[in-house]
Amino acid sequence: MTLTQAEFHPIVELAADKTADGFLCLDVAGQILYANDAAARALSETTTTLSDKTIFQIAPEMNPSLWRELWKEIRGRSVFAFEFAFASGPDHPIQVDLSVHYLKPATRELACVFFRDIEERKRLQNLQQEFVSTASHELRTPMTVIREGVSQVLEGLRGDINDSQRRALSIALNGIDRLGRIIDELLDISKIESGRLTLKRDRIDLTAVTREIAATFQSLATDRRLELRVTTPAGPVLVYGDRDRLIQVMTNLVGNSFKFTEKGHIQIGLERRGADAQCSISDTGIGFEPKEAEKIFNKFEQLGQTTVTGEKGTGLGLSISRAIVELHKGRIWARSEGPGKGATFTFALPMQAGRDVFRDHLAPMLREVSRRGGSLSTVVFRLKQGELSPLAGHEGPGLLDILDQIVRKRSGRLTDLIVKDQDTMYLALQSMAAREALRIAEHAANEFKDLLKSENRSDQWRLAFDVSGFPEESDNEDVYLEKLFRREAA
Amino acid sequence: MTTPWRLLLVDDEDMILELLSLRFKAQGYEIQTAMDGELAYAAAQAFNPHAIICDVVMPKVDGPTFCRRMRAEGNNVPFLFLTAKGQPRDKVEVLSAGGDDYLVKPFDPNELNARILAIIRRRYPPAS
Repeated sequence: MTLTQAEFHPIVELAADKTADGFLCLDVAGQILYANDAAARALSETTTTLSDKTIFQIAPEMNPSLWRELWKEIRGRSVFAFEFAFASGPDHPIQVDLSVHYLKPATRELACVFFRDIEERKRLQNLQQEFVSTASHELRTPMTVIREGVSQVLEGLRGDINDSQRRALSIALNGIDRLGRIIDELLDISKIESGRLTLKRDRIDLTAVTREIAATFQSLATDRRLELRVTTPAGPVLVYGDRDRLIQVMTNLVGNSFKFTEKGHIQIGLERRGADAQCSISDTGIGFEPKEAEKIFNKFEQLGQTTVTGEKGTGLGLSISRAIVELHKGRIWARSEGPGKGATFTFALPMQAGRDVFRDHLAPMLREVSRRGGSLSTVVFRLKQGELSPLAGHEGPGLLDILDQIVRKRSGRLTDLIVKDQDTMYLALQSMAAREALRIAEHAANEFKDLLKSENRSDQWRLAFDVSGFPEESDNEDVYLEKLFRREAA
Repeated sequence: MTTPWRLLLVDDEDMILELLSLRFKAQGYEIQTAMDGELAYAAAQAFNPHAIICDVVMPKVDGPTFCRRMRAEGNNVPFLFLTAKGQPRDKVEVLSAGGDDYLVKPFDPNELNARILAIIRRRYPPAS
């Protein structure tokens, strides 16, 4: 069934007039040919007054040359989206998300503009975030009361109970704990969806994290008579990541394996693969249909499977894990040969070099300084192994942690950007001229060398550093970055 | 130890106070309770507790403010906060106000017991 041409036209007109997004139609000269209700409301006009105006009257940022550029873009790409400002009455700019579409229905070229007030969107996001956060906060107090009350009866603090009563209360307690997990995970999901989950990234050794996770699960494995196998490279596998969040991912994946495996083994494996650190958790559990592999990462997706332990999940763990891995610019996937044949969950994280991480963080800081004025200094510390210590190589990261503490103490600030590699530490000191940074670096280096000397290890390690200042050295951000890293390569 | 440990419980929810009182009394603690930071301050002066379990959000004077006031006066009584939030920012807030430890509601009673014992043991090491 389709609409007739005669029916279609008024429907489209109605849609354009009444849709919640602002909609404008303009010609090449910038004259407004059509404006819908939402556009008129947003710009404090009426549809009639708007159609007497041009784009230049409603957009203070627009000028004829920019307008020509925009036309060039949309003729080439047919659609173009960006953030923009309109004037809603005198002295009242509104920020909008805007997309321009190119149309040439007859002889005339048209620019069709859809826009939406960003502040409105942000306000709604805040409202949603606040709601989830308040709701979860308010739920915790009554939950505490219920949990504690049930626990006290269960523990016999309120007198003797029989086995059947004990059983009922244990079930109740499990339900309460599950509710608590759901609330935590809903909070996480809400943060992820509003883009507010931010990572506290630092250098982490995934080898150590993997072994820690294995140790945590060992007693559960023993209880459940499952074999827990761990394979990791001998040395550290360094990534830049949020330690707590990555532990959350691994705990979720290993926990899932335990939930779905009755007998056999669970294997946690870590390896370097190309530029990635890859971590796999495989089990001999119930598995899944291969075609479900994508679906299981969806919110509230549980494939209708029952766990071996009777424990119920929230259906949110895997989708949170995926979001965390993707925030780390990594990938996560699942494989199974089929039901009953076990499953393997793998995530891969880029083993980004410290200098790339530093560069990513430093670039916006430099832009901010060029825009607002002020200064910024960078210091690159390099640890070099002395010839007498062929075995001391693995100590580099630990020594840099000590240097990090010394520097923070010296600068007296916690807000500076510090990125560490295997043997290099990058430091950006905001609002500080190179002279001052040099003084701090010298003091820190001396304190560090004294420390090595006091341990009779001066021969094993040498520390070099390099200080440069922005904008003294070069007032162009790109040139500054180039120079900084070229000098390092030399 | 001939005298029992004195424990001050601070929470604006009387249900929580009642339940926690019973739990800790059953283990031999001597208990006093207060429903906001102001009353808690007065109670702390008179009762001189060995440790304080304290809610964060309360009317009049909140938990961190109460704790800061005690610390400003040089009182180092161990403080364990019960927070309903559990966001990293909130944990930092209670610890930087002078708290020794915190637990997120709803907590596991065994963990609460263990943590209270731990901070008491740290503050009053058994005489060797």
